[in-house]
Amino acid sequence: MLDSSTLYLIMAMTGFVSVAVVMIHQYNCSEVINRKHNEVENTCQQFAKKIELLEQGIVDLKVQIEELDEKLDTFQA
Amino acid sequence: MILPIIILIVIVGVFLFIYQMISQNKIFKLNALASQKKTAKSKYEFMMDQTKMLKKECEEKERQLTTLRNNQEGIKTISLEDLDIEDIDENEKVSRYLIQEGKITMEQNEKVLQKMNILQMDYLGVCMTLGFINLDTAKKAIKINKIISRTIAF
Repeated sequence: MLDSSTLYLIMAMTGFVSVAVVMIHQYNCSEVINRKHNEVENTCQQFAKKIELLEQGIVDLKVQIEELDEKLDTFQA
Repeated sequence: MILPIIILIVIVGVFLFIYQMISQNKIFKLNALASQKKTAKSKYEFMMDQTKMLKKECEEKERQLTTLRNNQEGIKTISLEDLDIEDIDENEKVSRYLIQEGKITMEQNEKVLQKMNILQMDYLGVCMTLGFINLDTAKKAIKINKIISRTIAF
């Protein structure tokens, strides 16, 4: 059977190994999250630009439709 | 003897707990980011749909307006002067017919004329390629064109 000092040594080593594993895991996870965060941010920015253009297009189209409606009303009257 | 074993078990327990917490946090954050991306994408798709719908509506109204204009002005028939215009090519006749019928707008006509040189196709072919008219309309236009040509020949 192991004596107490050996057990304490094993305990200390287990503690160090655990801390190291936790630190590596934390580092990996944060890197994955950062990468994903950057990817999403870029995509969102691209979408935002496209949405802005589309909004402008929609406003133009609405104005065009209103003009056409007016013309149609004039013709139908 | 028992104390170190208990401490060892506690250390392993704490380690597993922290490890799991970090993993859960990662999954939670990734899900949040995925939902953020999904929201932006759905908003973009919604805007795209709305734009398409408005474009369709606009084209429809333009067509209606052209039809109304033509109805009010009367159907333009080929005049006597035009009868010896054999030099007016078939494309122009067809384009006139389609505009009069309100199948295409003036803007679409211009677009088709521009694309004709690029695509190396006839007028109706380009119209169909661009999706302005369907096959039935094209056949009808050809038929009308033939009738007009025959009338001119007589």
